Amino acid sequence: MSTLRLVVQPQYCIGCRACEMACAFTHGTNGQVGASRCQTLTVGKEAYVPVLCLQCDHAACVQSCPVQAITQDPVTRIIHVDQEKCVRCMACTVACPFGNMHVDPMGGFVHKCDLCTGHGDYPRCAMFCPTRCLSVEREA
Amino acid sequence: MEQENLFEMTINGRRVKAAPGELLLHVARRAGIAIPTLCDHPAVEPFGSCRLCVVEVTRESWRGWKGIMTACLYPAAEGLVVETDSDRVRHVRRNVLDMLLARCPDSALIQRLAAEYGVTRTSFTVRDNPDLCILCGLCTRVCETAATSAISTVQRGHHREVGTPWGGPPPDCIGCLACAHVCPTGHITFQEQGLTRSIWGREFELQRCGDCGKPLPLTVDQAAFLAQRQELDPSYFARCADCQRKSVAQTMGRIAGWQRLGLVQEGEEVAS
Repeated sequence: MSTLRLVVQPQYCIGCRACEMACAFTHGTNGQVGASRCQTLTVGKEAYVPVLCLQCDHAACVQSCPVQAITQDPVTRIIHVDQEKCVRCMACTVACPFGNMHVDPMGGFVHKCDLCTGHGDYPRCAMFCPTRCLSVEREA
Repeated sequence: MEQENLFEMTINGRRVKAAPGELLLHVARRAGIAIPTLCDHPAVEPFGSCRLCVVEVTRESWRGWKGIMTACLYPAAEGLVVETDSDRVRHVRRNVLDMLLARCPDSALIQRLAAEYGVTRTSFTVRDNPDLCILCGLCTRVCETAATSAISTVQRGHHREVGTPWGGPPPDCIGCLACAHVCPTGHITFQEQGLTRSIWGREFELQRCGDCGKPLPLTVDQAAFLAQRQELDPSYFARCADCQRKSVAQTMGRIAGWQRLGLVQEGEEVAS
């Protein structure tokens, strides 16, 4: 399996928020729309930046978790939250220096961008991005 | 599951593969066989206190003898034959739930589980002043693993309960709420109001975002504890996610602006 890398190029973002919609619809449960893992913020006038998980190496969320519920896949480099293992201490939501660990407003659990692992294994936001802002690079 | 030293065992007549050191509960769950549990949590070591995960274990060399074992503690082994839903297992679970129902008659979870096993009313005498605690000890184990061992079971026999040192506000507690979130029956409760969070009879001040001043979902004690234990800089727990996202967007927006103006070529490394 080749590893995916989501490339974000904010200079192409037009602020259409199709990525947020795609994310929310992809991560829904029980016929309900989920919360978006990607947030497009407006900077100044007419400049938009989609902010989503950067899947850092030596990530703050991984390091801050007291029960090792957050792990990085050694092959794909995607950081996953084990919801069963999580004790909801919320340390990761504060520790992430990019603010990309979200708390579900309904369930209270933490979630983050998983590059759509288990939801087609291909970032749905990149699929719906009308410009080159969110694109996918494949590494062999 | 690509290890070479996998072995085969039987669960409910199905042949399943297991690895050395695995426990029956995990082998069964991976095979899609449901076993009810109350005190199991992947973040902590198995403990076997709720006795709900009992299964019937045998092997050919035991010549028909079958043992009732807790699946969460019994290691998988080659040639084991496990029954997770036999009449004897259901009978034991029914007895366990009958007793739990006498202990916690108001718990919706216990009521539901007991009803699944055909117990709608306990055959024992309901204890006086029942609460929702089933004494599974999950809270104390999570506190030990993830936090500071601030709570434990206190007293003995009939008076055993989950509590704090000498019944007072626990001095070691950091107010992380892990115990409240793992409690299967919702016995442990907490209140959060403005900047204070109270649990176990102690009040905690919530950490405030250094930028916007909003309360963070962490207490001051918890932030200090995490920084020390996880060996992180205290600044990791100083700002809220919204402010951090905002500053990331500003930085990235600024760089994108340079790129739009042609000041930075695509693919060029941008310092700071």
